[in-house]
Order: sequence, then C-alpha cells, then structure tokens
Amino acid sequence: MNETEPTPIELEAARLFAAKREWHRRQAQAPLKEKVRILLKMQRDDYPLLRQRGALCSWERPWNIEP
Amino acid sequence: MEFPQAAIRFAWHALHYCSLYRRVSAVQYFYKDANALQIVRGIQGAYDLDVFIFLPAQTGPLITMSPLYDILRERGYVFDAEHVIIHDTPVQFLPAYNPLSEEAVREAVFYDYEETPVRVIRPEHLVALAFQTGGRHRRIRAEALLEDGDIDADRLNAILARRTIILP
Repeated sequence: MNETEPTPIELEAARLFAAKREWHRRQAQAPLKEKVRILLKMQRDDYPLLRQRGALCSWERPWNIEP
Repeated sequence: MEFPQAAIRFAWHALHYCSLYRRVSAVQYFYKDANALQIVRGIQGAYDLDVFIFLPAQTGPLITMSPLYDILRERGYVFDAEHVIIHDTPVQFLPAYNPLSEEAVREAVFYDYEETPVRVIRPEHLVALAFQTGGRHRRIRAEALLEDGDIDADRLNAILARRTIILP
C-alpha cells in the first residue's frame, strides 16, 4: 500500500533522528568534567526563561562553580 | 561502598534540574534569512537543540538539507555530525516531516528570551510527537511531561484523536 511508504521528507527525518541517536551515544561517553560543563552551560542558557516561571530554589539558579 | 551525601545531593539536583519540566527552555539561535519559512525550537530537556523547519518545496526522491548547511558553513559555523555548533550549543535542524510535526510548528507558542521572541512547541505536541515517533528515551520524556501536570489534557486528547495516536 502506498500509505505505508515513507515520503522523502520522512526518510530524511529518519536519517537525522538516527544521526541524533548516534550523537547522544557518543555524548554519553564524555568525561564527567565535560558533562558538568554542559550542565552549567544549560543552567546559564535556561535561566532567563526559568526565572519567568516564578521563584526558583537556590540550586535552580546557575551555580557559580567551575567544572 | 557508601556514597558521600554531598555527591548524592549533587546528583539529585542535577537530575531534577535537567528534568523536562524544569527545562522549558527556548534558547533559540536562528538565522532569519534562510529559505526556511519557520524555525521553531522543538524537543526540550536536552543539551542539543532541535529546531524544526519548513523546508522549501523540493523535487525528486530525496530531500536535502544542503542549502541550509551551506549557508551555515558560509557563516563560519562548524559541524559535529548532523549538529551545527552555534554559540557553543549543538543545534540540529529537522524538517517538519509529517502532519503532526507541521501542526506542532504552526501552533508553537511564543516565549520571551531576554527580549527576543522565540517559538517553542507546545508540551502537548511534544508528548504526541514522542509517542508517535516511539523509542524509549522519547517515551520517558513524554511520561515526565505527563506526570508533571503542566499538560492541557483536553488539547492533548484532541491531538491524539486527530492523529490517531494511542498511548501505550
């Protein structure tokens, strides 16, 4: 049946999702220091939005530490 | 072996901070003059950003992201596999690939990110996309969103019914 055949855009999306899975697999193997660096970066990046959602606990604010 | 309490607290805080609910984030780095019609921040709660785009019409059996990648390369951005590193953040551009993802992009909501309006896919669409696409990690994220209670149940049910998606 034609309905089950993936469209070109679905094929490209599937390829991109597969690449993402592989990228995450590699990320999971990163050293702890790199993972902490990423966590701190995420804290800084998301803080402007998080603070709009109301009062934050102290630990939800970006931590002033170095990995 | 006993774990130090400080390490346990750190891990718990880190996990909690990284939970999907707490990271309703919209750090969106986008370029406005490319061929894409709309660029919307997609999946949340991860280090890398998913940016959904509407690709311009293409003919042929294959879709290519090359025009988009070429523009980014010209601007000096580097690539890590299919991710573009933009301001130290890995960004993956994904074409809106089916009616549900197109609807998710169309109905994305605006957030204010330090006076920059950014569009973020609604959590109800994220749940629907996760269950439609499948996979353990997506299901876990979707369940976290559902448990969080920040979901409009009526809106979600309408989406699931419209797209014939059955929750496991």
